[in-house]
Amino acid sequence: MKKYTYIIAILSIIGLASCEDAIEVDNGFEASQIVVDAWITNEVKPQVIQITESQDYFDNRVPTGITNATVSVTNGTQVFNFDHVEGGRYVYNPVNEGIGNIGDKFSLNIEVDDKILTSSTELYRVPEIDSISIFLETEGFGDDGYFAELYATDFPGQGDTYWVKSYRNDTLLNKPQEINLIYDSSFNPGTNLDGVTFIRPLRFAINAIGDDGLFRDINPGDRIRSEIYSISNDAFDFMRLVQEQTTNGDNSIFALPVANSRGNVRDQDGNLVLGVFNVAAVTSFEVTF
Amino acid sequence: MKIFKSLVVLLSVLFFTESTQAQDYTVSGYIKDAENGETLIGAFIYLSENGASTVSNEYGFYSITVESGTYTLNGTYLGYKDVVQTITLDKNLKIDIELGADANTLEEIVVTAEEIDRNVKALEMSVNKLDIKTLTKLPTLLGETEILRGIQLLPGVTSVGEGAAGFNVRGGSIDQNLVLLDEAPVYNSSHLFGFFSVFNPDAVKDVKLYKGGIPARYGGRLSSILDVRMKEGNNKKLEVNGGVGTIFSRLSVEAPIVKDKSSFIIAGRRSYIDVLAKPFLNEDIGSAVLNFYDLTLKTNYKFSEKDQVFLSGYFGRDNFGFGDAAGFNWGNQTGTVRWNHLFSDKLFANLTTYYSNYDYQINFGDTDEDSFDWNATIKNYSFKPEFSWFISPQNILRFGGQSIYYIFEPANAVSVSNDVTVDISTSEQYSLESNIFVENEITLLDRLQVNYGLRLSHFAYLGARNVYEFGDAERGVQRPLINVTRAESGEVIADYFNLEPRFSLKADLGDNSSLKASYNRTAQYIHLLSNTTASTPVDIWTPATNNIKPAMADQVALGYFQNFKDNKYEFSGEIYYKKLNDLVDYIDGADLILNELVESQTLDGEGRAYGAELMLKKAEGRFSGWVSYTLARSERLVDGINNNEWYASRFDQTHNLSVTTFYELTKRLTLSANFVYNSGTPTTFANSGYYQQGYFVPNNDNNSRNNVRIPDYHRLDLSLTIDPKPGNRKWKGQWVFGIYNIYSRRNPFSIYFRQENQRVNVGAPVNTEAIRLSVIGNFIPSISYNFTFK
Repeated sequence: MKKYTYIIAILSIIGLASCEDAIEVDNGFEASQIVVDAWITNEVKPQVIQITESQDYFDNRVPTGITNATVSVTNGTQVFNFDHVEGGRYVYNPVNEGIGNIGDKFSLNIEVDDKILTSSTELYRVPEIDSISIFLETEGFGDDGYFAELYATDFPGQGDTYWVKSYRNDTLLNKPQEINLIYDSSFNPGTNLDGVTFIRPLRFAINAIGDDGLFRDINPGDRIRSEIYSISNDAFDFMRLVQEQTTNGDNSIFALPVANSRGNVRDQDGNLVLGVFNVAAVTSFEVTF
Repeated sequence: MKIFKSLVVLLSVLFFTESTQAQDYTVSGYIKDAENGETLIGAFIYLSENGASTVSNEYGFYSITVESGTYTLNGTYLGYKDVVQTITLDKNLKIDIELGADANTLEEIVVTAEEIDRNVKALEMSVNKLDIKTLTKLPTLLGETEILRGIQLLPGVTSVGEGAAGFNVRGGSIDQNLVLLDEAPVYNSSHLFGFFSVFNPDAVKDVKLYKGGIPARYGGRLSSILDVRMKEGNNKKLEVNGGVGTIFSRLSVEAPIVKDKSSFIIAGRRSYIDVLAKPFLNEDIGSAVLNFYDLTLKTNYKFSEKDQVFLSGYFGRDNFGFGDAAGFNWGNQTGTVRWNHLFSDKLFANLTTYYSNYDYQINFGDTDEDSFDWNATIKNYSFKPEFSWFISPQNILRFGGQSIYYIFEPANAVSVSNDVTVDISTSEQYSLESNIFVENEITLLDRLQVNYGLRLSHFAYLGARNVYEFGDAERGVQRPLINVTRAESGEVIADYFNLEPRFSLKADLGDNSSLKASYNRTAQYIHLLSNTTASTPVDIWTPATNNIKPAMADQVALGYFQNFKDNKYEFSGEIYYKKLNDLVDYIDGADLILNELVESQTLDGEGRAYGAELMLKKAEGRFSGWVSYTLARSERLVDGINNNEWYASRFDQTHNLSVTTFYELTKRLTLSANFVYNSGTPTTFANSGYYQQGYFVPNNDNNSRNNVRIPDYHRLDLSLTIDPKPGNRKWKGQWVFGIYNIYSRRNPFSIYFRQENQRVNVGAPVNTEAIRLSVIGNFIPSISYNFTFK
């Protein structure tokens, strides 16, 4: 949780001889489960849904794909069929237009063996990015140097949730610490902040984080690209827990309890299965320093 | 219930027969240290002729009422020379007893300063006292004398790990301990997260921990009362104490203002970690502020033989800051005014009023366009009259009451984003907690003593504020807001009423052994919202509301107490069972701070804790110390967690052993060691993982909570104390050399899973690992110097 990173920074300065060692543990993995990774957009480009299996936490491998599923998405009037390509990747190629507009409702239908998995969601609004500015920062925890900041303003009205994905020179910033989720204009619903420019820590979070956990400055010639995806509240809650849980080690002695991310896909008996179905609208912005 | 009723009838008969006897006279007064005039708490006073005895109360007052006659009055306190004097009791007598230090035992370690057979003879059970002199010789982290670490060497007291704030008593969470400093509650008892406690050892006179058998005069928390009493200050002559340690330097001054009538003590400490750390900080954060300090003050004035007033205060703060860019500070303040009044030789009254406050501030942002300011406080004001009526040595009646008014400000926060200012404060909460109690301590027959009492408590959650009503949701998920209403100022939004019976009993089995039993019900109306392994300074307290119920606990305990070899060895063994109801827990991913609708994030659960505690103590001699062992279990049951089955709480420790020893090498040299062993605490491991948008998401397939144990904890610490040369010199210095964690064990605080630090290429597998986090990974040496000037 970002709220605690400051406390952690202090603890590490105090450096009370604390230490971390990688160790072997037995985590008691039993059996794999089906996983739905269905984050699609209404953009006119290939849309991918992945159906895979979960694995032992320590397997350190790419997932096993499920190749015999029938996958489709419908907006109520049209059905978009996703065809299996390889390794559990199912693709739909839109021609001329995307699969829908803001406010449309979508359903996901997956049939695999004797199972039917379904989910539904809505395509939510997404704000335009006003600009990405680059400025000189000499204070703070990271390097001295130039950093980028993303300017966009939340819509009035509570409950808008976004996921900002950023790239530096075409490299997707995909560390758990770099997950940049926005609820209205701030970190989470509790703050009640609404309809204003994204707050500074979120604007700043489009910068890359180095292996030491600190922000990396940008150099002349670097290309910075950010995309805002509109996501459902369910998807936001899911990713917030992913972020909390995958960065929980940074909380040191203030770790949060281990908790499972809760998806929005269910089987025919109404049980939740692993994974999320989300249809996003996307805005983007790119600058070169 | 019938038995209870007939007992009450029996007791009231006794009560009246005792009090109507004719020709009784009372000897009463205060018992004090002859050298500095400090009153002695828990000193033993008895009459040789008929064995009538009593123990001095928290203010050093005693009162014995017996038939007229000539008696030998004895005052005793371990480590002091007994005072014996003959009195002729043909009228009520006022006798203040001053005990001088025993020259033979002065340099000797006295593990507990109390009367010698108290272990067996006192009615109370599940109570531990700690002596400051003992604490100063304990090997400690960085050589700082620590009350809160000291009590963790006692049976039944544990902590979630090194550096964690607070302590856990008999399977209760840290907010179930009422920590009192001169009767005012202290909401955060730690400096630097949990490494050091807020109590300055130079200003503390007496520390007493009630783990069970809690008398009716105490209440408000489920699991324990830690009653810390400050010194009054030397009322004979000027005394200066101080010390230079690795973390703090300390100084205290105490002196009489009007000899034998009024004195004061002022004690301060400040850390100099910032001074030491400066060379290691890079230039960027050279403007860093990093310090903590506290100031303790107390003064008293004796207006007459019957009236004495005490004023005490505490102020402490932890400060962290990085130039203008960010700052974070927190601290407690307490103030207490107490008035002791003697209505008669038998009726002692104390009136306490206090103010207590805990607050923190956080700010970010060095520009006007973007900033964030946030502060939170819990404030309370209380009024508390208490009466002790010493009817006879066999019969003491205590009664009184208390009102506490609370103001909670969970967040006053302003966020400025791109020059737009938004107030994101959450609304204040108000409440009033009130109680009355009556407690009777009585000796039935020769060998049977009981203390029974009743506490009636009431809590009102008050306006003005919005009142939220939440609908149903699947358990474990945030509940939806369905209705908001407005309560006016002073309006009662929700109120709760509880009867808390208390009972304890002691039966003497022989001269050297006794059997004790107790039952207590406790109610707790305020909760610390804390979801993390160790509590953080930003955790906020919440009152019971229309959505959050007060928590309740029932505890029974049974104990056997025996002393051996002329009271040289003390043994105690206790078993207990505690049932806890309406404990606060949280939904997965709960958002507890800066959240107006925080009540939608809580779950209620129940708990149970049981165990056996053994302690063997050698109280005096060249070789002294104690061994404490606890076998225990602490579990929770929360609908929506762990598939609705019981699970071990995060601080559950099956075995907990500590061995604390002192060995006097010479009159001036003491070698101390302590060894601690405890079973690993439980934690939760994810067993599987899956990919989602390239991220590897950990998953606990069975939805279990605390399903594995981290490895066991053990540690050995040593210290060597060099006491000053004996004799009457003005300046006395003491050196303490210590090594903490002497064999450098990397005790795990936790084990967590993470993906490796390097960036993963899109489509490539994510590599994961398990990490053992040790807060202290090495041995830590320390040197400290303490002095007394008088």
